[in-house]
Amino acid sequence: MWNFIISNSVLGYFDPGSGSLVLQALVGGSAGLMVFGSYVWKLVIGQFQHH
Amino acid sequence: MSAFVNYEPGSYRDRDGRVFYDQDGGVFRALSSRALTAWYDLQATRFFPRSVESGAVVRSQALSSAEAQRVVGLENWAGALRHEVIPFVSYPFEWSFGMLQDAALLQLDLLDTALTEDFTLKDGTAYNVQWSGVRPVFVDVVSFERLLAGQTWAGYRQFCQTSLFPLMLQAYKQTPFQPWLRGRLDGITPDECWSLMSWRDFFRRGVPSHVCLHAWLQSRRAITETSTSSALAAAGFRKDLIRANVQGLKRIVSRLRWKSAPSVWSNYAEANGYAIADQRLKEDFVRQAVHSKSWGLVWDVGCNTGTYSRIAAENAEQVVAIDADPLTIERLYQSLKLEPDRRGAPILPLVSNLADQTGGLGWRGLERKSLSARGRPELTLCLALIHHLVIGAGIPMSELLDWFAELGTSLIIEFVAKDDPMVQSLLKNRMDRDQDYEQDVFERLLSAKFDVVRKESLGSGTRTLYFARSRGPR
Repeated sequence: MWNFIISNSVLGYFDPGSGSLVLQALVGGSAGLMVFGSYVWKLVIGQFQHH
Repeated sequence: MSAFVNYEPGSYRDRDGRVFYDQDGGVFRALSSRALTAWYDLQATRFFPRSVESGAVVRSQALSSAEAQRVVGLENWAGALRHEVIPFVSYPFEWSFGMLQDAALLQLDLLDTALTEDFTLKDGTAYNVQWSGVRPVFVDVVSFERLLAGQTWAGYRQFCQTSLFPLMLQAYKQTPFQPWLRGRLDGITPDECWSLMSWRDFFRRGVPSHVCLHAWLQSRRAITETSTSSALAAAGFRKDLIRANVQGLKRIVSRLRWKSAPSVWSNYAEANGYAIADQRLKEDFVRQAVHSKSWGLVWDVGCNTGTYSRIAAENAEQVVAIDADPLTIERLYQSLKLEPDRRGAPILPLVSNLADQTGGLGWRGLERKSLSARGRPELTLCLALIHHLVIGAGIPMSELLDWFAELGTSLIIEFVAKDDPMVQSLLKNRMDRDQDYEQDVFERLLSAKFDVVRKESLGSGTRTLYFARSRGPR
């Protein structure tokens, strides 16, 4: 699980622009941090469900 | 359908709108049905007509169906726009720091205003800005689209790569951004920008988030292998977050300063030792040649402070002031900005080195064109420059004059003799490059390609001015 969160993508098969989209929540102030938290929470839950 | 449509090769990315030209040099944009609907939606907003009126966005007019059918055909398109023609197309790698900064602020202002009426910009590239003199103009009108619920700013990454990071490199690292932007049209990636920063830079405005975190996030498997847009929308992403980001970016960009050390060229005008009398003679010579007829496009190559560009602007439609030194162009740009009431043609300052010109770049080598492919000058000012090109850069004198002749331009050109102190300093370590650098050789080559109508020696005795008319067909 931890590995999924922090590991690098395989070059050539990922969209680096996704990181730019996520960053827009992080630079959006405190409201953005809540959106980011919700986004990460759903990502983690999704992984548990997947496994 | 029209037999042939002359599409702009650099306008292939947006499937909803493609720039094309007619035989008379008119600039049009073919629109998909989606883009045509968005265009009519835009007309109903308050911000868009206001932005056009203020000159921030290029003037455009929708063609009637019959006209659109005639110019582009409506089998593949739903309609077309006619755009106001930009006098000389330029690229961000030819701009100075202040030009890129002003272009970036224009994009952010437009996006900020559009957001108030639930519109967004789907792009963020600096190539969407062109210039009318020293006024930036946003040209990609089909980039405006209605903002959907939960949508992020798709152009944010492009904005960082082509505007924010280049400006940071210049402001924080004293690294000229022009070669980086020329090296890759998509600009500087977050990881590249971060690799050029030191840990001290981490504490500079905008670096921790827009550079460091950006570089880290862009390669996380958890993010890049999931459907990020829909996941962010589901997490509650909303317009306020884009506005907060845009306003933060405006604060960062507007506070960036290039604390430049004087460059080799930036103090040239004070240091070149011209006698005032010679300076006046030179200005009179240039003015007389410039007023011998009305000129269309004029290039001033090696423009320095722009004294002669301003004289050329008295009797031309457009002047492009070119210099290889970014600081020189920055100073010219800032000084022209302080002259809003200057009469005459617009002057566009550009960073470009004639000895290291940009050829075709991008997809099929056609996306970004060379200077001459964007507009051949009718008159070129080449004052106190050829010794740098022939001795400094090693370009044979004959090839240099051939190139000017092939451009089909008339010339106001200055020959600086070998015994001039400036030429002597150039020759110190380059004695092998002086064989063809003789005034009689220069005059013979010039007369072979041009009609020399006037010649005048300056009082210093080492400098001679020539006004030579183009002979060949343009």
